[in-house]
Amino acid sequence: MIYTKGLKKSFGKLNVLNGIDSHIEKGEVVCVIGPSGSGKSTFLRCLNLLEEPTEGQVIFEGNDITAPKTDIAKVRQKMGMVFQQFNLFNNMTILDNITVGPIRVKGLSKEAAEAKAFELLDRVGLREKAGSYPRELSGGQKQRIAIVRALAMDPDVMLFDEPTSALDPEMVGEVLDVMKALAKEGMTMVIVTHEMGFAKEVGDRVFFIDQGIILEEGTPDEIFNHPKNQRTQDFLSKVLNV
Amino acid sequence: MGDILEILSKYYPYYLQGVRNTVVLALIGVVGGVLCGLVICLLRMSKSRNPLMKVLRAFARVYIEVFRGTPVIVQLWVAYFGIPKLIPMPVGSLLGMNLECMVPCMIAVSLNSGAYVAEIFRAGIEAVDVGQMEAALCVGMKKGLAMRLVVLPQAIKNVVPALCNEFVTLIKETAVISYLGVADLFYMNSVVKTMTYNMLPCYLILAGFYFVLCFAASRLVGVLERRLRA
Repeated sequence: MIYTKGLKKSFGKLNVLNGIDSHIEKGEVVCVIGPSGSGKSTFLRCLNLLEEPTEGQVIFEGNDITAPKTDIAKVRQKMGMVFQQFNLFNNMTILDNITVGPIRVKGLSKEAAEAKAFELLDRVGLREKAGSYPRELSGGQKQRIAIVRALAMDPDVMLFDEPTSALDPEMVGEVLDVMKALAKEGMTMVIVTHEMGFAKEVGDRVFFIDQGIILEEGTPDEIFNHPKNQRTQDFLSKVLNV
Repeated sequence: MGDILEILSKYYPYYLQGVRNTVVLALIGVVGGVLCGLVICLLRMSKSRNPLMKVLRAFARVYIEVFRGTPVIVQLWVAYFGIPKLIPMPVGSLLGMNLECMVPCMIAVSLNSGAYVAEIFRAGIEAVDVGQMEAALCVGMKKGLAMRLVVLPQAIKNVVPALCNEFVTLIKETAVISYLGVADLFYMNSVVKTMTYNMLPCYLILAGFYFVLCFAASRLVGVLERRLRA
């Protein structure tokens, strides 16, 4: 579903991605782990061109979306994204946050968009928040709404950029539960995460990224229980033994 | 003090006309400034690689620097002599102000204010977290739509207090256009002055009127600001 070929990204003189070749299959849950500053988030943000790759290609559903003629807005409708900082639209109610995309971008009727929004709100147990503003919600609630907002567009893939890193510990669970349910339904997901337990449980495959390349990839069992690379072993021993 | 009261009681209609006109001019200036400032700001902040947009972006930068880097009075005289050469000026008068003088003056004041307002807008837009734009792009919006639906509504909240201050500033700054013969508060005071030949009381009265206007306006800004924050 998504291929990257020789993906490179530099910010000025700083080379963040140094050639990433990867593929993500339909229905797969890929967890991306690695030390901070390793380029995980940049990799994810290159997949929907929030960051423009300096070199290399991103091929999504058979089309090279790094080609200059690509209508990237159109492509992004198919790629939902969830951010560490939630980024709900502060000037809109929760319901408007969820329906603005379907109505203004996809051209759905208000009724259809709202019906779909309430259906999704029910799934995350937040129907009663429809009329609230983002500032009135807790972090965990905001992130569940952010997931709903992305789902409302009927994406083919969901990208998660450290979705639980900005949450208080007691709210991490409620967000992970929503993501687990989503994975179970067969949604294609790419998740940059520090939640190793989650990656182990939910991931179909794990990418270990360090210094801008995928150093090791494999099933959670291969990566977590039998890491081959020394740096993978060092990283895991640091994060798992706390 | 006696002189002040005497002049006021005799000539207050002149002052009231001046107050009204100054408020009208400041309002026209701020509206013109906002329209002009919004356009200049969006050009200035555009990241488009289109060659035409690049030229316009450079123009916006030069525009801001030029209008901030030359005295208003100079801009006014240039406008006064220059604009009628480009577009025909209307004849007649509005609220006792000669349109042939007033229109170029208000164009100059609006253009000048626009340069400052553009920077106010830029600060307001930059104060909106970049995540808001990114999230809007991620639900498939194009940049323009994301700007309109998500970023600008939040930027305006940031910007309203500063815009109101710009209005207060314009109440004072429009005094210079009396030099070109527009009948604002300053001009009307000069009229009274030449009728009474009593300089100090006249200028004290003038200062009083300006102060009351600006003080009232900045109080209003305060109220508005609290409303917006709530």
